[in-house]
Parts: sequence; C-alpha cells; structure tokens
Amino acid sequence: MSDNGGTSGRGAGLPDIDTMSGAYVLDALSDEEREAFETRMSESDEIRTEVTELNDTVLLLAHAVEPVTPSAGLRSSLMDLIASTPQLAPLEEERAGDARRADTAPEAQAPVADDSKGGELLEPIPLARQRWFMRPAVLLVGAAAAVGLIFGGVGIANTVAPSHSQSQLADGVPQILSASDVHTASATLSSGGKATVYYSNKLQRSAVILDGVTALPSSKTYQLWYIRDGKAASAGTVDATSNSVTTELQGDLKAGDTIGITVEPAGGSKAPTTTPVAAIQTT
Amino acid sequence: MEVLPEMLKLVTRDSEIPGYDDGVADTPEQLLQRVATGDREAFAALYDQTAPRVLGLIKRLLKDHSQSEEVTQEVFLEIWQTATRFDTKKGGAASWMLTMAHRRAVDRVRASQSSRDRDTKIGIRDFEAGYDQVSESVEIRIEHERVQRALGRLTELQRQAVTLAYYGGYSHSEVSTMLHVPIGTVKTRLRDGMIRLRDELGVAS
Repeated sequence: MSDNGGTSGRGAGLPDIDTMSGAYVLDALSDEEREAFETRMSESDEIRTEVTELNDTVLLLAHAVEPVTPSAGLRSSLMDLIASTPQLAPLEEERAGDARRADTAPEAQAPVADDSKGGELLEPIPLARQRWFMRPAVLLVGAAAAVGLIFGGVGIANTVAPSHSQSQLADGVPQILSASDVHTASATLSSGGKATVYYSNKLQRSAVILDGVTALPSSKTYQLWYIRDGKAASAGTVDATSNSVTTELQGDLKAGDTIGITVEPAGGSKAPTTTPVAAIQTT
Repeated sequence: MEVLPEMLKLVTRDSEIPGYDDGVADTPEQLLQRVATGDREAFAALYDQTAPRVLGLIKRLLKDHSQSEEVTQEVFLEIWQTATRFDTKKGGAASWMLTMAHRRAVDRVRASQSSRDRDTKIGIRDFEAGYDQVSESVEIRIEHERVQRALGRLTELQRQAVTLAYYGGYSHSEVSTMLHVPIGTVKTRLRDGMIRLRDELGVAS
C-alpha cells in the first residue's frame, strides 16, 4: 500500500476509511461506504479539503470527454416536462439579496456531511437502501400479520388514481415540494430505475418520483408502503406507464417512517407479498 | 476552484444559444439563478449550453445512446427541480451539473443487470480505446490531451483504476476483480492516483 510514489505525506497507515477519498470523488463507493465516508468527512477538515481538491480534479476528467449532441426530441420532451414539474422551495432563511444560498441545507437534508463534492448536498441522498433488505423476511412476515389488523376493509385498489404522466401531478405534490421543511432521499430500485422521495414531516405527507422504472405487465403494479414499527401500511399503487411518474403517497407520514416499494398483483395487496424493490428511510 | 473559469468558458464557447445577443452568453451560474425563479427560457439556454457535455459524460459510461439520453433527461429534470438550492459558494454550475450527471450515470450502470454482466476484459480494452477519439473541438482536444498526459504520469495500476472507476462507472470492488488486486489496494490506488492527478493538473483550493 505504499508505492504511491510520494504523492502525499499521508499514505500508508491511514485508517481504512480515510483512504476512500479517491473512490468517493470517483463515485466508486457503495452507498453504505459513501454514507460512512461522509460521516467521517464531517469530522475532519483535512479530509474535507482533500475531497474538495480531488473533486475539482475529477471535473477535469469530465471536461476531457467528447461532448455528444442530444437528439432534438430530448430538448422538447424536457421543455414539456418542466412545464408541469414544480421546483423545490428554497431552503428557509434565504433569498436575502444576491446569490441563492443553501447553507442551511445540511441540517435540513440529512445528518451527513454536505460540502463534499461541488453542490453535493443538492443531490437526493440515498439512505438506507439496504437496511430493509437485510431483514425482509422477518419484517414482511410481521408486517403481513399486522397489516390485516390495521387495514380493516380498506380497498386499496381505489385509494390512488394512477398517474399516467409527469404532467398529471397529484394535487398535493406541489404543496409537498414547496413545504418549508421538504426533505428528499432516493434509492435505485432493484428491478431497475430510481425512486426519489420528497417528504415533509410538518405536512405529514410525501411524494415519490419514479424515474425509468421497469414497465410492469398489466397484471402487476408498483405499490407504496409506509413502514413503521415493523408494520407496513399501503400508501397506494402506482402505474408506471411513462418514463417518469410522480405520485403522492396516501396516508400520513410519521417522521422516521420507511417508505417501501414492492411489486404486487394489479390492484395492490393488503400487505406486501414480495420482497421490496426499494426502501427509503425518512428522518 | 480556480479551474472553473476555464471550464465555463469551454462550455459556453462550444454552444450556440438561440435568442441571445451575439457572443455575450450568460454564464451557467447566471442562467441557473434565473432557472431558480422558474424561468423556462433560461432553462432552455442552460440546456443548450451544457447538454452536450452532460450527455457526453453519461454516454461515456453507459455507451447506449438512448439510455444515455434518458439519464440526461433525469439530470436536467433534477436541475430544474433543485436549481432553487444551488449554492454558488459550493462551486460552479457546470461542476454541479457534471457531478450530478456522473452520479446518475453510475447509478444507472449499477442498476442495470446487463452492465453488471459486462465482460471485464472488453471493459478494460474499451476504456483505453476511448482515449483515441480525436475531438473536432480544439478546446476539448487540448483539455483531453492535458488530462491524458497527466494520466500518463500515473502508475499503470493507478491509471487503470481511476479510468475504470470514472469512465467505466465500476465500483472499487468491481475494479478489484478486474485488475486482480485486493479492494484495499484499489482504494489506496484510487486515492494516490487522484492525488497525483491533482498535482499534475495543478488543482488546489
């Protein structure tokens, strides 16, 4: 571990996690390692400085790549999309004067370091993608048993209107996105695509954007769940019929809930019947 | 961030911006600030300036053009949604966007089963070959050659590890398998390699 050609005074003998700065700026860490490294970074000015410099270096790698002209269709499709996509509210205590600032972001977003990679804090922060998977059988068996009690006779199939395109945002979504305490987190679905959750503890509501998820046969649907104390409550189904679908979750969010996504038979299930394709922890 | 002005110039100069006064294009930062107020024209201008860069980077990782456009769309949608929270003090707009683009491309690479099954040997050859492309743009060619020269000063292992991680979107554990070295070694090589690149390219904050 020491043939680093004298590139740095720090080298061999570093705690293992401190050697991850290179992998971190190159996006080569697993989500768990990234979280751990960000925590470590928040404790060390030295590491933060190193990461900032290495991140600037990475950008030079980006700038050495040959640009590719996008198709005309991409531009027009984006312009259509943004026409109906709400923007996030600026974080609180801002808009004073000139530059838009996001200094308050760390507290608002997540308990991890923020000033790592230029504007990193603006990224949805993938949280706990794995945590649910580590104990799916136990949790889901418990959940299936418990959910029967919770639900009584609520018909799940009609609790949510399928949203067929980005332009048909559920009514509540803009309110969530513009809430003063909106948080965001995202996860990659194990079945493909990405889920980004926006939530407000103040409003006790959340919305999910599914991007590029695998299209399901008509006999199946994505179903959303609020997971709390080992119980899963349905938060509605989502028909992902277009590339990007935004939907508000049904029911009340409680701080700390896990938002789960499963693939269920069309119409939805009363309790999760399959291993979740994504689980996102709220804070 | 003293590398930034140079980068921004590159981005700006390569693009044509419809509807703008001749030659005097807004910087991405200025555009992004207007985007944050819901200005769709500014968004279009920002897109025209930066989309080829963003798509180029994403396509470098994903190869497939239509998948790369999908991810580019995700990135720009996120830019639209989160422009309100862009902080100029944390770096330039182009950096912010390219960082986001790389992360999203890596997410997509890892999420896709086919990419997980990528033949590692083809992988290595592929990324090295990628460097032979000669850009039509002088600015990019210069930048390209500068980076390539700097990469050439790394040890073979450092260079391969950095290249596979950044341009291939491989995780350090995948790189470890491909290069037949322990994960711990990959981590230190990535760090050593990036530190040497930083020094070669004269980046300091």
